[in-house]
Amino acid sequence: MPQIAVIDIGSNSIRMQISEILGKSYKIVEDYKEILRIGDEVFLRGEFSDRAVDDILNVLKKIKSLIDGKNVDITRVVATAAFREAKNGYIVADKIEKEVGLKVEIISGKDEAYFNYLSAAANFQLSKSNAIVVDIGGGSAEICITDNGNLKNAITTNLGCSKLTKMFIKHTPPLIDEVLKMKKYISGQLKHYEINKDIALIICSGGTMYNVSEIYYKEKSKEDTAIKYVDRKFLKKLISMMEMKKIDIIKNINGIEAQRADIMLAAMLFIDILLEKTRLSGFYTLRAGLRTGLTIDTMNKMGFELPFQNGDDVRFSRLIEIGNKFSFEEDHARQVNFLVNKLFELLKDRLQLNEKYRKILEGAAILHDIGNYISYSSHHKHSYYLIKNSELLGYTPEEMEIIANVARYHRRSLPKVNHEPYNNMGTDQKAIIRKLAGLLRLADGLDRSHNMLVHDILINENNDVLQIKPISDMDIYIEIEGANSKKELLEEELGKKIIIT
Amino acid sequence: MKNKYFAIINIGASAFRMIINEYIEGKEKTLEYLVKPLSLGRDTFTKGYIALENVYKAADILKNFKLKMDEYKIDRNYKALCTSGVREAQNRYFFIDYVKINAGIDLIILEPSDEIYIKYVGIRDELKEFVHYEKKGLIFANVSSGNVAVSIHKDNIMIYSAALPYGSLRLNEIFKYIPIINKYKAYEQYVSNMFYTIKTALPQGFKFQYVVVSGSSINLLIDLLNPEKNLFKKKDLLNLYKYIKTMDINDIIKNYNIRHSDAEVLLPTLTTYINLLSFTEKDEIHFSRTSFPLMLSNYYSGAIKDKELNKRLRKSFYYFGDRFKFDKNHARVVSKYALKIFDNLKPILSLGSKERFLLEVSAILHEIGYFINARNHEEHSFHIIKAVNFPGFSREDVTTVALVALLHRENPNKNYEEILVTLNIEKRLVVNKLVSILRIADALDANHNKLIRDINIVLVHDKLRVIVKTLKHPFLEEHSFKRKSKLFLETFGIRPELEVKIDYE
Repeated sequence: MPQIAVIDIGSNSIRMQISEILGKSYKIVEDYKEILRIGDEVFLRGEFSDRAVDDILNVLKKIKSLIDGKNVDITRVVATAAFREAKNGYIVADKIEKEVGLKVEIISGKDEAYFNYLSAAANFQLSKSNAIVVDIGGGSAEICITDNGNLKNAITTNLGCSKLTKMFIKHTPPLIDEVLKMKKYISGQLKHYEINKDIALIICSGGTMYNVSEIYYKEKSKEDTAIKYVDRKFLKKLISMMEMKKIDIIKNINGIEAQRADIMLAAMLFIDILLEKTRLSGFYTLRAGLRTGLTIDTMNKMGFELPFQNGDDVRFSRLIEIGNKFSFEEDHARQVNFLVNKLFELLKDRLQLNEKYRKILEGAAILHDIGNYISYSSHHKHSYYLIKNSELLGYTPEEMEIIANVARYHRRSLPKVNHEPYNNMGTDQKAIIRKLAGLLRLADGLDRSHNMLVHDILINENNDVLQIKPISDMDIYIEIEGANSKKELLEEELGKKIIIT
Repeated sequence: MKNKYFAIINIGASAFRMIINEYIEGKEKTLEYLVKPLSLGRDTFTKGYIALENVYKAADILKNFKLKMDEYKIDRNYKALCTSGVREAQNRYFFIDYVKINAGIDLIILEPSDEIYIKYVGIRDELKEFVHYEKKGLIFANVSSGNVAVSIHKDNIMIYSAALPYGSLRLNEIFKYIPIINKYKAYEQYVSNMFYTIKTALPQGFKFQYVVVSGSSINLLIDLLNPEKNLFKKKDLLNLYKYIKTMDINDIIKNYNIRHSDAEVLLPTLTTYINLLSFTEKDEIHFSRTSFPLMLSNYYSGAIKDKELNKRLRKSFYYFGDRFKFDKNHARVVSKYALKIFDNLKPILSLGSKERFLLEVSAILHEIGYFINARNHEEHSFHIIKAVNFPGFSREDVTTVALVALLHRENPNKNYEEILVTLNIEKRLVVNKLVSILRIADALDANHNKLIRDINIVLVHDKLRVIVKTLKHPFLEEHSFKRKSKLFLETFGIRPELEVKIDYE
């Protein structure tokens, strides 16, 4: 499959990512980063010094040799604010082409904003609400405002965090007055745009804010994920610490990238102002925003489209994508999903299941058999493992853990406390897993032949017996037999005998 | 080989069998062959355990087998092997213990991959064309009461192998409540499902040239179809199927004069055979008349050998890697370097050709986990390798390779200590030595671009000189070597040193 390399020459760092295209998705095969802070000089003196140019060339040579070692088909290099603003930006770009053999596109702020929007749209369900996608770089900050999934406004501002820091902060720790002036300046720059409580989601990309989320996840000992959520309370705590402490102390915060320590405050104040305006209690961060958008854009140019670009539900598309990666039987997966959805509808009140569990059940139904890719025997356990280690979209880590468990119990043993992953769940989650797995087992039994024969389900309840009647135009002995052999868990959960006719 | 008696007891899902052979100059002569029907599978496949009364019956049968062995003065020269009927029973350890105490026979559980491997070598030894089939595209299926074990070969590569729970007795038990008039439809749908599972694991458009079957089901069909050569024709199978598909068990027994236990499994067996032919788009099935006990006997007595095993496995592991889209060039380079280091360390390693092969397999598969996720890929490699089920590659070997692959990274995320402590000290040492070598080999291609073109290894008392030839200075490899060679020093007390020789073209 073709491979794409993208290089982002930002004001703070130079980053490279190589991805392999897998039809409707791609996977990252190489990731490289070096923090150079090339923007600092430009924002002070208006151009790159000879030394800065040498640094850039050296890093790009290293990256070029990494790329040459792979089978990369297309390489795209983009440069942002530092190159846009440096008087000698285009001269340096030429020098790079001559000496390193990489052609640099100096992209506009609008383009930068668009790439970030693409990246966010690939990772979040944007169509259901209004969102702000903000990428705080060193030299500029790009803001996209979306309206039910459509890009309403793409703005480029000069609110890059290195730049803000250079403009306002002269002391460590900063003077109160310096911080106030900076906040006022940011607010002033943002006042022309419609940023209010209609916004339901703030998504940040850019290395500096991503680092903030890493610090938060370290402190909370949360599992590392590509998408992170940060509480505003934590942001406030970190801001006040940075307002008061000397830079040496800040550099020792667990998880902080030392080269970003001085500019982090500006980025955080910016986001806090957005949170204030939107009355939201936290924000999401996304790794590799610009690079992701650039990769998707390059794929589009090569004729590949991602599921979300056809208007599909991102969460659901991702499930199908993961299924395909592991060569699942899509028809069976969709049929089981259809059946389990019916059962959920019919039995959710009796099982006291909240509506929000429908999408969890959907994840487990679509992915229940993917473990087959590793081996048929114990494939339910492999499904658990693969779900745990595939990055689903639109689910919280806790929900993913439940999905993995439900898929694990779609066959063979019922949940037991000596099964470690199950036992590690809380009492409430255990109850949910049992109920959802009970439904999934029965639904899987109802497509035992994998021929999608059942097209409806009726139920009838009297006293202690629940009658389940699968409807089909064909003979369905196998399905009835299959459902009978897998009804035990659901019977336990309902406290009723089930008869399948 | 000196002349000797050798006995095999095989406890299958539907019968107990014993064979006593005399081996003269490597050729076998069968002296006794006993079959006692007792269906442990019926218990195991429905209840999950062997009922107590059947445990007693089993011990009685085995006591008699023991008496027979005593007649030939066979004391330790036997193997008593159990397949799925015991293997899958929850009370298998009780069963084994009970038999040992009451019949004085030590039972061994045969793993599915070993079971199919022995059948594979057995049939290959007998069917001269088998080697040719393996090149052209072959499905080899062992249809027994409990499982259908399938392996698929092409170009001498094993591209698929699995033991699938679709054996004839098991099918019979699953659908025993379905009325006879509809039973064949149920089998039909159910069995086609098994082939669907296999199909999803094969490359698109895969073509089969030959179908070979073994298993207890053969004898029943030979009795009924009476084929001239070792071939079942599709039309004969279909004819028989047409007559019996809605026939009552008692009528089958009467009309064909066969035992009740055979009559029960006839329909599921035929369904499997016919579906196998439709799936492969072929119209004949090759089989071997050699019984499983005889194959076991020939294998365990050492009468047949498999010289091509490692070559075949190596090819199959590369194929397996491709399935997980691994970096084949990196795998090749790392295994080449790892073996070079291994060979040059011979004087101090005290490891043999088996460990050498395990090192090679570990090098081939160490990064296979990337397919699941780049993060913690060593753990994913471990997980995938643990599920490897290749005939001829034992569980123990699988564990070793999985651990070596896990530890190729310095600080694996997974808690591996708890796995290591389950190994004895010798095994742990083997793992340690192999990991030390693999890490260095991996470091020498850190960038996955074969920047280092070749290596030379010189061992001088306290130093291992790794001399590398390259066109450009290998910064990344050098850095990686520094980190990854620490364990080597700890393991061998020898300091590895990297010497870079730059070739200017």
